[in-house]
Amino acid sequence: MTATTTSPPSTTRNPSVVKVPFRYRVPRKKIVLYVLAVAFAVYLVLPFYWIVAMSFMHEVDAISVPPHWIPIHPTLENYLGFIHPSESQQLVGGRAIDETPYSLGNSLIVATSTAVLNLVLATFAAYSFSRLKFRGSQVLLVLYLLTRMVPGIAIIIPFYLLMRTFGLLDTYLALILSYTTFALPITIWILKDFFRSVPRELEEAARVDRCGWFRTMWSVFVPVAAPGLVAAAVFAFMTAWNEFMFALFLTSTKAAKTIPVVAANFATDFNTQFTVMAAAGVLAVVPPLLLALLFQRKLVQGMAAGSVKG
Amino acid sequence: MAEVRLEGITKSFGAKAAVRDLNLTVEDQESLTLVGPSGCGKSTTLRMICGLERATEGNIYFDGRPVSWLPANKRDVAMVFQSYALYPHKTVRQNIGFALKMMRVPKATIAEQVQQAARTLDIEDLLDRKPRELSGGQRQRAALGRAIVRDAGAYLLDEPLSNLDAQLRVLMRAEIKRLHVDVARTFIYVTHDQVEAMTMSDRIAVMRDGVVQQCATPEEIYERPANRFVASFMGSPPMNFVTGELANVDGVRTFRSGALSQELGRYDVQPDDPHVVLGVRPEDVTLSPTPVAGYRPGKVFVSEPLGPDVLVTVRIDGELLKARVPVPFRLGHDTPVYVGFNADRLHLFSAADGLALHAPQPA
Repeated sequence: MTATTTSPPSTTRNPSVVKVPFRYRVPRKKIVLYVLAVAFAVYLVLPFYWIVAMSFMHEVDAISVPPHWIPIHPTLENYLGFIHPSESQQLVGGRAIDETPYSLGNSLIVATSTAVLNLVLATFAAYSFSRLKFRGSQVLLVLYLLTRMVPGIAIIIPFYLLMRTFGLLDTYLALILSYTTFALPITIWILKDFFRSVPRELEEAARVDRCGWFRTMWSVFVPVAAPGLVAAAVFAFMTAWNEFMFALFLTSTKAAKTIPVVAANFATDFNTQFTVMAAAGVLAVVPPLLLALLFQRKLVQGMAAGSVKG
Repeated sequence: MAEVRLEGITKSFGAKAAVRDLNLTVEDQESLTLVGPSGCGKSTTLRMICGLERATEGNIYFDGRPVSWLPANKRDVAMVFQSYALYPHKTVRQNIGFALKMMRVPKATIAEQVQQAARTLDIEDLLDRKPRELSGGQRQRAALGRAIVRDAGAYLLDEPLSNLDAQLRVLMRAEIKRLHVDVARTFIYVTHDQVEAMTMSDRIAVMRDGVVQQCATPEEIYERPANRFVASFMGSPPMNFVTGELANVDGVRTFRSGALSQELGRYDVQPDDPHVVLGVRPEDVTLSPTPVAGYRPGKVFVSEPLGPDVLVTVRIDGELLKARVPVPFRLGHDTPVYVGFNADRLHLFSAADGLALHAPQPA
């Protein structure tokens, strides 16, 4: 170190000493991190941006080379097509455009029902695992998780046969039951850990405050556990909303086809229309996005803060 | 308002007995403290009274009515938890009024009673806050409010002050004591802090390993401890103990331990086994810088000023004894000092089982 940088009083006393101006040096590590972060964000966001942009383009602009990153002649034609499809649009993907509004409705019903059914079952199970000590609880928990280790393709044929036997092919119920079996083990694990973090004294305080078991659950436990419950419900909703393979096997008409199956039709036909497909993709994103926005606060809220010491 | 009676209560967790054959009666409007080291079964006892745990054996009665099989919500008790257990999603007002709401008390009455409880605890301006917006002391008051708003038979307090800092603890100790006087209900208080136990209650039950060692008034516990454990647990700093034996020296009953020899004067105990433990409280030890007849020589090990008096540790024959002497005390470390005991305030315990053989008679 030199006197010029370490002792400012000497510089005032001795004007001959040159004062080195302070230079802020950006740490190299920080630059690398920023570059990586931006690259990753672009990697995540760019495909989605391209879908949204394309959904407002004419087909000609969408497939032009080099691509137009911003719609130069923006149009709502692709969206309006879902209400009044033009003749050319009707031909796309085995009437995919005609089936899209129905499939969105189907997806909503199936995903919501899966979320609700899954939440009710998982809450009871997870509560038991978090509060009761019983022989074999750990084994049972691991067993639940093991069921998720089996690849879907391995069980799809038995599932198909089972659903056919019960006459459930091409119904909501077939999908709801299937998706619940996928989501339930993970949901139980998520909720079990969350419930364990809810202080047991809260329930005991409610009992002393003259609540019966159901009242304790409803007035105290559920509100406190709400962030966990919301997270679990959103997880189950997304699982059901995104699922493709089972929906492909178990449904065949617009009575039960979900949006992933119909969206795939846009791409599988020789008569592909990228812009309509993009619009369908955007529509498919809207419900989960709204859901995430709606419950955003609950999802991140640490409700238990301040209930007990600390 | 209720008398709480526990008859032959035993609680086992697996093979381990947390509470063993407990018999205890808490009178109506009495304030009783269960005190003991951690793991002694005091909280378990409280939870059984509350209905959060079920006794393995024995019965609990409220005003002579058996309640052992009633769940907590049917027992008519209010409780303050160690962790406060305030409902985080409810405001202080809702927290305090929750039990009344569950009892279907009319809304106007709830509002009035909540206000009154808040006024008693001086938290009126906090009623619309959530627990996370409160400080430790304020949460503690809110938790107390949740209990006192109830017209319950008994009020159970499970170490309610243990999470507060020392200063606030002293303040709240006085407030809870005053609260008991004001509301005139049965209070059962659990603590591991012997000072809290001594200061706050009409009677104290000292517990160890699930067994009540002694249940008596604070004065009685302090002056006439039933055994060596009670004597050592109650009182700060704790009682000094010297192991030795009884002998007759020139026809006078004397306690002897190495070079230490203490005449027992009018103490007329005649135990079968002469091996005993002499107990003397630090305030009953006197120190002199010059030799005095009957005093034993020792050396100052360390002295700790406490303000009004000084806690001096003296080494005699390799043993350390604590003395509480008035200021000023000016002897430095390793200075010779002469130690005497107040012969009227000595305790004798059996060396074999620790039971009290003799304690000073009340004056």
